[in-house]
Amino acid sequence: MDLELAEVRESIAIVLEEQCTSLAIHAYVDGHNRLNAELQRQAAELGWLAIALPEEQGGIGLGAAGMAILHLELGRACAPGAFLATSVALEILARGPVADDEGVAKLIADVIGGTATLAVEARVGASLAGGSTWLLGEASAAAALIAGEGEDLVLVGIADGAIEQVSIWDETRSMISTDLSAAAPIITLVGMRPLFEGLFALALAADSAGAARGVLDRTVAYMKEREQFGRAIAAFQALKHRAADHAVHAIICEHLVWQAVENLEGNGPESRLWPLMAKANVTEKASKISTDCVQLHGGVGYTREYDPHLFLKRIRLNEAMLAANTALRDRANVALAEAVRNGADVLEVA
Amino acid sequence: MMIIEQKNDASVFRSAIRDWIKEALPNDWDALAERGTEDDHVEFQRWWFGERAKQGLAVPHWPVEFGGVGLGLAEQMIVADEMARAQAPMLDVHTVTLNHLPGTLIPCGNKEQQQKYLPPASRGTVWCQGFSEPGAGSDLASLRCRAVRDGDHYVINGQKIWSSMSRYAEHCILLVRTSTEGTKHAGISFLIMDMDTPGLEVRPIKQIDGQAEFSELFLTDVRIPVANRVGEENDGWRVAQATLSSERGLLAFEAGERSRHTMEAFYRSALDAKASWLEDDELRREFLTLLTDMQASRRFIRKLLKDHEEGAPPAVTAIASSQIKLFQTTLFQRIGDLIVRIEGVEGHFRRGFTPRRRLTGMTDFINSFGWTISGGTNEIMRNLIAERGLGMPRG
Repeated sequence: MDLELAEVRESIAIVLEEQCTSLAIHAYVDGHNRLNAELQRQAAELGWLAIALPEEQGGIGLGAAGMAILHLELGRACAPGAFLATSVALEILARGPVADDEGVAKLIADVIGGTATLAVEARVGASLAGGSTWLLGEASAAAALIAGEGEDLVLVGIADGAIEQVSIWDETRSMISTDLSAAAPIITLVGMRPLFEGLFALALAADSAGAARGVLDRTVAYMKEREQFGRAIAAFQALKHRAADHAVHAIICEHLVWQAVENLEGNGPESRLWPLMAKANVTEKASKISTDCVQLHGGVGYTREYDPHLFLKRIRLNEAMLAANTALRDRANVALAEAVRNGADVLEVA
Repeated sequence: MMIIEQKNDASVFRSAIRDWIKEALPNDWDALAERGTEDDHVEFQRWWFGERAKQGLAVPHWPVEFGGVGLGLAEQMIVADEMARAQAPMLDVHTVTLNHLPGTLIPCGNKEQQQKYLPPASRGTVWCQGFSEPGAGSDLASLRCRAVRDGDHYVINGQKIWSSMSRYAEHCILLVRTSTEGTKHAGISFLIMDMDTPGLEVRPIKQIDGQAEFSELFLTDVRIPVANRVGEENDGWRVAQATLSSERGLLAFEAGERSRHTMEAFYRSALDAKASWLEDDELRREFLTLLTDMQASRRFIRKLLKDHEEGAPPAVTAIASSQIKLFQTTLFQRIGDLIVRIEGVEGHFRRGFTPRRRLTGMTDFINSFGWTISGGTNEIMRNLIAERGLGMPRG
């Protein structure tokens, strides 16, 4: 399993290194190419979106670990597209009791085939009153997962008239707003909200951990090239110590992603503790790292031309999604208290 | 039957250790320690070493020929894990004995040295380390303690500092300068010194917490037989690298596991007592943040141990060790800092000697500097990570 994971991860990394270069991303955000669509076509061919799905459902069968490596690599490359929302929603639909529903089955097939994308509610359950809500996803998304009553989720169709493209700072992803009163509920997924939130948290943590690694790698490379006072700025101890701290925290981020992977399934307190805490801690660490990476670039860090701002904006959007990290910690605390009271060991590491 | 004889079945081994600790260790040992002195606690640790030795659990990681059983990593982790779980006493006084001494003598010592020193060490002789000097801390290779050859002896003059447990030690691993020619690394030799040698004076240094775990060593015409040299003359720096690389890994593992249990116990008693800090949004959330970082750090340590066992190159594991040292020790400081704020005024109450069995406000916080400064300061760790890990040029 470990070996297969490492191989699949490497294959994703190779494709992204080739396709998703810094130049290509900058051309994309300036509207000069359709890198998102090109990546989505390739992703469909290579089965990335269905990486977690069992093989009998057309997937690669890597489960939560597959989600982790996919988003670690997409984040590291700062890859544009609707991958995060689509892969999370796809996994939920495929696992749900509705996978046999004819319409849903067709939707799943379309998504795996790369002809449709999905959206998810960016701040889950933020707008139950029936007003409008924000969705992470593209305006062309076929459907969206939003919070329903209690622990339910609702799959809603996205009506053309009822959506609006939202202009966001993260130009590598797309957000839309939709009027929920005009959205047509397709089907209710009973009791699936906790798993959805865990999976969303895992994907956000992985994307952020990958992005932290990506922006740091680029910053370290820049520090070795950029000379001032007659030497590379990487030789200055005040700067290299900051880079060393970031390098350690970036590794910690990835370990937290694996903590989430191993504790995603089931109804135990660990499944309500670790994915949410991984999202909270990783997005904050990644925010700090990417903030300082802009600073370590000096003047060019403040320009559109260089990469750090792309990562910074993406990570900060990840941080804002799902729910506020303060709220996630409060929910994690409820799970921890329950576990400790019941003598359940949620801290054991395999 | 000694417990170590059950090592081949992991779950039997684990429960045998667990049951034995319950039986062998007084449950209130930490309360007794708090009422006693530092010296009492050293005696207590010697006793505990002896009890462990009776079960084959003192030096199980050593090779069979020197008194161990060559215990594999997975089984060593079981021992460390069970000691941490039971919050059994640390063997602080034996740190050098258990790790640095075999780490040096097994790869670099000769047969006579191995036979002379390792078997008694496996039964609990205390060793200390004479490496740092007032002028040679992070820049260890600039050490000046001078050794001059006189027949079959070296005559040593100089000063050593931060020598932990040297007040209790029978032997010392000592770095001295035998040459001032060439680079500073090229003139260092590695010696073994008996602590009762004439001309050696040990002066305790009072620490930030009032205890005196470490001392200064003053050496005036101290005579050490040439036979006590480990490795060749002027090749001591290479030997010292072996010594220092033995320090990490399992020690970090046990420290991480102990910290996990103290944090869990702290949280459990807060729940039981309906402690007010659990209602404080900032403190409660910060606790969750730190507990989560702790979890990541424990995973990182396991990864290092696994890589090490699978034969990853030392250059790679050395960087991971530095990264873990930096993160884990900073985390201990962050935890101490939080507990100080959680405990408020009570966190400032001085207790007796505290054997680190539970989280205790200011005591943990001020002692956390021991973690961040010793074993290579965290600033040196950052240099290593940046230069060897990230490939940045030296300043």
